[in-house]
Amino acid sequence: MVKILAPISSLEATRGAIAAGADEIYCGVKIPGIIYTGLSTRPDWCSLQSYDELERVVNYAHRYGVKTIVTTEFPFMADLIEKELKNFVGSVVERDVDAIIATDLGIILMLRHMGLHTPIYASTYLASMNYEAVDLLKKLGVKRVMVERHLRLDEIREIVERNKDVEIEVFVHGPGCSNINVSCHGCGTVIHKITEKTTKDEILSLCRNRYEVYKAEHGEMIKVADAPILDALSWCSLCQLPDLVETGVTGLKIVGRECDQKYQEEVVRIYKELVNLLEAGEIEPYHKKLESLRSHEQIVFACQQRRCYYSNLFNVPYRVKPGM
Amino acid sequence: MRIAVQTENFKLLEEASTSSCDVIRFGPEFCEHNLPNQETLEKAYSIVTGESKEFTFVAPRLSNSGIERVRKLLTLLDEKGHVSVVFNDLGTLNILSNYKNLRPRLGRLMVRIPARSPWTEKIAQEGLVAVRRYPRVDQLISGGFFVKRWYEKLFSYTSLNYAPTIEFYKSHGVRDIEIDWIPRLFARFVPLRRQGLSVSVHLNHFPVTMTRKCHTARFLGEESPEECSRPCLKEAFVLRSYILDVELFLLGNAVFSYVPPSPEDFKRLRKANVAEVILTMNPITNIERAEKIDSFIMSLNA
Repeated sequence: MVKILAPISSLEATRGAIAAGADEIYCGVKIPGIIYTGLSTRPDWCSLQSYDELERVVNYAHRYGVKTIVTTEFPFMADLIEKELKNFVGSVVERDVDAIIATDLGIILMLRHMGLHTPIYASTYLASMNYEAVDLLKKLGVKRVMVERHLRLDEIREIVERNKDVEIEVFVHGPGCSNINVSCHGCGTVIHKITEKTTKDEILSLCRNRYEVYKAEHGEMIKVADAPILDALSWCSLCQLPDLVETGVTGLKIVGRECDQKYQEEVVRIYKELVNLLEAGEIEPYHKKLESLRSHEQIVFACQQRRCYYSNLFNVPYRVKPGM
Repeated sequence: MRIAVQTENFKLLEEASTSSCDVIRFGPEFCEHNLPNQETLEKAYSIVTGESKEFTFVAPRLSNSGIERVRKLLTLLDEKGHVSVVFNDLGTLNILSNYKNLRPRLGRLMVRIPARSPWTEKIAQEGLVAVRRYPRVDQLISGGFFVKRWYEKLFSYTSLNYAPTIEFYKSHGVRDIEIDWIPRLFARFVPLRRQGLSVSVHLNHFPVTMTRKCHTARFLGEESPEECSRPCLKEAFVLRSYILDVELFLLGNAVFSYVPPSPEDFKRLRKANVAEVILTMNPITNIERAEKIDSFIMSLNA
């Protein structure tokens, strides 16, 4: 059975996600001692605000047999932050979380060294794009790998087939980066009023803005376009669900810890319902349901702009040409 | 300090081979679709070693099919003897252990560098603003550093400033690592040398982001990666955003930022005991002739 992994950012959201059918929930927790730097892909307001809140979330989820997975959040490891991260890991493990998502090779090594029994999951920040990368992570004791968003279905299928003894997870819905997560240093950055045109705490992403595009011709810079040239954001994979389920992936993960609770619940409900239909072999009802969803407020934008996960890599929105 | 020249274009490799550089690095850093076939790699190896220069092969992030292509290329190189291979993917590192003659070099895409953010200097300055705006966070934070100091320090670190990470790579035979030209990182190179690593620095442009959904190809209306006409080998674009306050360079599937090198920075680089600097021949740097490489080497020595 393929699992639906729901993002949560509070106890209230946990209740909603579990009621909507989430099989597992994942979250961040604010790390004491580390000031939010703008380096993480998520602002700290979409993490649980304390270990006490985490404890309440875990207890609630466990009552319904739902696993709680915590992400280490910090996108790189250095000795500068080792002490805080070790304290953080110790604190979340004490709260009986079911797995820890490691966002950097150094964090995996640190977790191994700590000798924890809590399973280690590899984040998309490990940029696992091929079965050999997954194999190496497996040798490091990683139990589950979130593969990179920029894959095709046939590539995911091969990764699953060649790594039967590790769980493979994929993103299915919500803002799916235009760029490869770990290689991107211009996404999800929250900066306090960096220019006159931006406001406090605005999330700046290189890929979501328009650019004046220039090329050099005869020693002069000629403007050839004004376009959101870096926008290749994907959003939805409802149409790919039958193929995704068939690949044998363990989990379908929904992005959106920064989104409101209504989104967090509704998207989980939609995916759970469709996966249930597919797993029951009810293909026709699946297609009927899919058609009825195209105008749903959480789907319509993705559908109109063809922001599909796992499609042709060049078949994405804003196929602009110079001069447009 | 050795001078290496990087290119993924065979014609430019031929040109570079007539320059006075020490090493020629061949292969794509960012796009697997630009990987050479075995015949081209064989020729490239012969030209470079025929000029008594060292040959290094560069591999980008790879998909499953990319791994299979690289596996064949590595088999070919392994038969040549000791060749360095730059890996930018954990999968490539995983298969490199099967080749006894190949020396793995840690590519820069494997190194997490917060200072690649185009807003690094602004974020560092923001430390003080944060103190003023949020009185509760202006306390001393762990380690006893003030907020601004914390920001400044953090942005001079990379994911290589962690001993277990270094030990892991060393246990896989890595002795050479590559980092970008970002002057605020230079001071952190010294501990890496002490840990027995040889540091190479990519000059000029450093990658801010990269994608598989190639921004250039989509912009120019290419249909699919397999049928791509490889415009990245011919032209680059400048991207300007007033709102984000950035000027960036788009080449193929990667976006770059630029920090102009100063003579003082070169002095600091020398002090940091850097083993090698890497000069890239591509449409951004506009270095296409051996004379340009030689004139750069002369200016560096001066």
